Amino acid sequence: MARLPASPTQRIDPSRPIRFRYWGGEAEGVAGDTVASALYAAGVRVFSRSLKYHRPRGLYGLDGESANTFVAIDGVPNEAAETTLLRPGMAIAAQNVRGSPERDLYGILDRFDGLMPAGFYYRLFHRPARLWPFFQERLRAMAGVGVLQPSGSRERPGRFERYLNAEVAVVGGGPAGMAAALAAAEGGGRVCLFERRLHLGGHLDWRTRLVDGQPLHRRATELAARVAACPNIRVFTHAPVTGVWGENLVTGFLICPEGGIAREYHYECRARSVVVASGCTERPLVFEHNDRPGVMPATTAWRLAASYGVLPGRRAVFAGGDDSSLEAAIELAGYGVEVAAVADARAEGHDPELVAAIGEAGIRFLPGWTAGAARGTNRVTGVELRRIDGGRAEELRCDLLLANAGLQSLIGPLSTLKAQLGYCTRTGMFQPTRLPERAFVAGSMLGLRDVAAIEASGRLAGLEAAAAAGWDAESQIREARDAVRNAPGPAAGCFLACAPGIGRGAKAFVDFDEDGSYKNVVESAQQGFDVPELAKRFGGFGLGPGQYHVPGQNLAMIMAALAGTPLDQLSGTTVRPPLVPPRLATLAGPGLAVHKETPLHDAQAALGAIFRNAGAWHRARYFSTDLSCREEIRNVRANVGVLDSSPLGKFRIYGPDAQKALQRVYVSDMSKTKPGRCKYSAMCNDTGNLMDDGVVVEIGPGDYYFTTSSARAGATVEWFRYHTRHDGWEYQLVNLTDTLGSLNLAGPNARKVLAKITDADLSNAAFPYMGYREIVVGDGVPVRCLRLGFVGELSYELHAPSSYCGYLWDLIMAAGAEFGIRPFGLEAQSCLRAEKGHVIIGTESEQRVTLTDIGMGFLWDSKDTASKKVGAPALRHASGQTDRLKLVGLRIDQAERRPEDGDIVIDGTEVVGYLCTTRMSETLGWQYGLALITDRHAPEGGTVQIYSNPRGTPSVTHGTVVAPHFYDPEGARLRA
Amino acid sequence: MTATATARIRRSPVRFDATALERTSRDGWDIVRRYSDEGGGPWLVDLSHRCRWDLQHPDVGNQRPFGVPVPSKPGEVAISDGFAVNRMNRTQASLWHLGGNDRPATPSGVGFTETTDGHCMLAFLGPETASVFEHLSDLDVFDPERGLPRLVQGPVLHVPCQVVALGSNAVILTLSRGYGRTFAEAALQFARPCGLRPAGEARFDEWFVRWASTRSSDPSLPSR
Repeated sequence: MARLPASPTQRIDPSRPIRFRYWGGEAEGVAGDTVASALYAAGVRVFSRSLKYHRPRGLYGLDGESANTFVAIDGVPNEAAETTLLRPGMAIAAQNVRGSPERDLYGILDRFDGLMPAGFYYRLFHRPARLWPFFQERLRAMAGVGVLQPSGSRERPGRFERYLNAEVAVVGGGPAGMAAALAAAEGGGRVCLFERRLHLGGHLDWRTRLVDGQPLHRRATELAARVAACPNIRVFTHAPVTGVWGENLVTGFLICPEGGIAREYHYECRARSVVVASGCTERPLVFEHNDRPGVMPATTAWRLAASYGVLPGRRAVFAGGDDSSLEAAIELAGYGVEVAAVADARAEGHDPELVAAIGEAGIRFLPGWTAGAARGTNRVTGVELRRIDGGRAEELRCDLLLANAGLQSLIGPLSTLKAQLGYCTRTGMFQPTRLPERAFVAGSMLGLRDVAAIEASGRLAGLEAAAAAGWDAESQIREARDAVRNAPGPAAGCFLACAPGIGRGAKAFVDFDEDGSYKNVVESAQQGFDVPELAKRFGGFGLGPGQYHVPGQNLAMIMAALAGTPLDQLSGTTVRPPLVPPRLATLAGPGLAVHKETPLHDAQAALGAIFRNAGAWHRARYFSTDLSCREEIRNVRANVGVLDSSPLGKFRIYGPDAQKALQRVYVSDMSKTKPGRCKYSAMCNDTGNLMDDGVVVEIGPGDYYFTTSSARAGATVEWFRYHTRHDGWEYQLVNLTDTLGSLNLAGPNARKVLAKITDADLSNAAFPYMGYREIVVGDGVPVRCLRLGFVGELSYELHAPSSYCGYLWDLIMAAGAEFGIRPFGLEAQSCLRAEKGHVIIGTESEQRVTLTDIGMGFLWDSKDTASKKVGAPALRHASGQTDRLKLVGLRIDQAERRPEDGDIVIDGTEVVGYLCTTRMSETLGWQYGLALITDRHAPEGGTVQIYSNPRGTPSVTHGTVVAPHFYDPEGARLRA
Repeated sequence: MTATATARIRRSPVRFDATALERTSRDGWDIVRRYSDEGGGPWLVDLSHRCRWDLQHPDVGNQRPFGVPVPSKPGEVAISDGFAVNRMNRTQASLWHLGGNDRPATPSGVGFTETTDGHCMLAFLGPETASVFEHLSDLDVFDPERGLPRLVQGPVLHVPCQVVALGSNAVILTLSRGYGRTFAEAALQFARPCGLRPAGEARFDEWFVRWASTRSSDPSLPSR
């Protein structure tokens, strides 16, 4: 289709053609086209088929108001044709179509709508119950608006996010929004302006009507230029807002231009105050077959002609309820559309200037008339106009039916903002009755139609927003209030709920996305879902991608009419976010993979480490594909291994009251902590559960160094502060977890390896088990050396500045080469320590067991009551209790299928506990287990049964209760 | 002791996928002074080797580490003689050595703990730095009302950070060292639209000298 001659309102460049494919054929659009405008220009009228009835659906709005125009683009379904810019080579396909959009196989379903009443999905095909899966599968296969292709593109368009900060955020780039932004910027604060369309200007953008001698579109350009020139206003176009939230957080997504950094990305703007100027849209007129291709709001046809140079039809009939339809009729007639008639649901209240212009243009004007039914199937061929009072009717031929029932405000941002909304009986729209703090509203959504009044309201809102953000704008606000007062106020609205004479069985659609008809509203009400919020869910009105746009106010008005509710008591439905649907990938965000790596990450990776997530860290779990880690374990037991234990929590605590704090949080008597000695102890919570364990070393007067488990490192400072919060003690804590890396050199040859890289005296006498020394290693690296034994062997824990850890690792590996040193990972460590019977918090402890229950009661200084140790009262209370879970060792009989971690321990049919950790030990030659079982079954020598059911095949294995220290119970190897 | 053949090198947690043009060794650190193709900015500079300390004291506001008075209010930053003193809370301040190549000794006094190895320290410099930051964090580090330089503590790329905005074209931040590499990679990736590229330490030195001289000659700037 040839485009209309160039005009100042056009947003296309016809000199730059863009070729694309549609439904297997070639087509051409031009630069500036959206997919919708290009398809329409190419003669496409049926864009898709509807959800339930497979009715033909065409272009409705140009802002993504409904799923009518969702198309698949390059295999990606559910792209909004109206808001997606045309790109060269696009392959576009209609959705929900079996056959072709014009001839759809399932189109016959439209004749069986009686089988699909409101809520049918909840009520039909459910009995007998066994049949429901059959129907469910078929219903789901037939419904839907697009096919996801799992094998398709893995493109992640939302790879970026953007966080903005501003004093004032303005939602809406129409005249009110622009005036608000300009006014707010006068205070010097940062202003962000968000507009869903590609261009600023709002409803002025395509209008040529002269106001004060200037075409309105030129006024829009002028305002946009002023906004662009203002250094403290940032403009984001093609940036739909998905919601405005508490504390004035504006969220949305920015659609990037061709060749941009992404297809679209999520943004958030935190503003001190916000102005909502999201404007109005035409309220759909509910009449029979109002969904036929060719039925659309007046502004859609108007914008097609004015902005895209596309003649929307040859012969149009208007059935409106607002002056914008009159203006559109005059404009479209100017573009060459034959306007057969302009019906207006309002009997009076029209703009006399426009009425006169309609007359001058020779257009038939029918006040008090509206559309009753559309004719045609795949495209509209005519209309039956009816008088509002239900009197006469008249048939007119047309290929374009431009219908609305007046305007409705776009209240979405106000709804998410939790503004209180009420129906205004003057404007016929929902409007805010109470706004949250520092939120303001402006423009046509207040019912204003006069452009000067709209701008004045925008300026006032902008100034008030800037003042709320801290600018002293009292005098300016006073002047702006006067300007608003002197400007024309809100115009009278249209109160038509639906066309007169509409039958209860009429296919008059309230919601296009879900095929929700007037009949369905009636059915919902009859079945007790008689308020909009209930009917919305039962009938699915407004639950589609278009959300509120199409059914929004109409649902409330029709239900009120059915119930006889006065208009002033009208209540709407809550508009849910996202107000405009972004891609799921956009919401998913950039796939952040920020995690912690130890200073030895690369060194271990070079040796084949297999890393796993462990909290925020990536840690080496295995060093071979043998997940039993046999070689790693064997090497530590027989020789020497090295473990990267850097995530271990490491802290300094100092100050005059540091020891008091230690006494409070640790269960042991921490006054016995000595220089050069590690004191092992544990922390409990108030219920006596083990929370943490580690060693404490006195490194100076009132100065201590202590370690915690890796998992608790992040919570330790708060833990101390919380449990000493009432004492006013003076002590300081420094988290050194990342400052110091840590290597655990373990095995019978550990001393020999360490001796090769330090001059320190490592003899057993000089540096005994549980000793602490500050030594120098290699070429002068200071190391805190702790002789511990978590894995049950002679071990040295070396804590060194993280930047030196790579060097230290290299030294150790070089020094240990002659002994066959090799690294071991977390899995091997877990096996080694379990053989020794050392617990891991959260693996062999849980909230039902106290420190005493897991055999660590020896740590608790039960005589100390003065320190008010955390957990002591609970430990005292639980110490005399019976029927508690206890940690025991199990020697598990050989079985075809070995029990696994988490298997339950039973006594007949009674569950008496569970296996915390179990492994087949090469060192021991049998399978051991650490289990929490009831104390009745805990005595050594007893037998228990272990029930396994890993893949639905149950088995029972027997185990004998033994002491939980399977390996070197005397600790001779640790002290060697 | 017999095995000391391995070279004693301190390693930064950050490694850029870029070609180093000029390197230097300082206090054991292997430092890249310049990378090839650094572009015209914005830049990301690894300053993890710069010394840092934690200072805690009940009366921290009256301390003068390195001769620099600790600011009186949390969030305030004092910069003098190459040191930045960032007041964190009622009793704590962080100290950063930003200028000069010498290695300052840890001040005497029990309240000082060297934390150089505990953090990764990165500088975002050059044009579009503010835009870069918008891709990484919702922190309002350039809030004009609060003035610069100032300290903001909060998440950047969801990682807890101390962020000091020195001007609209310079932000320095520290974060736990363990996050260093993946954080820097993510920052470069997410700020790609702004053209963020790795740069060597020299880029920061040049900028800092210029910035410091501008401050000392501008009486309208906050007192140091």
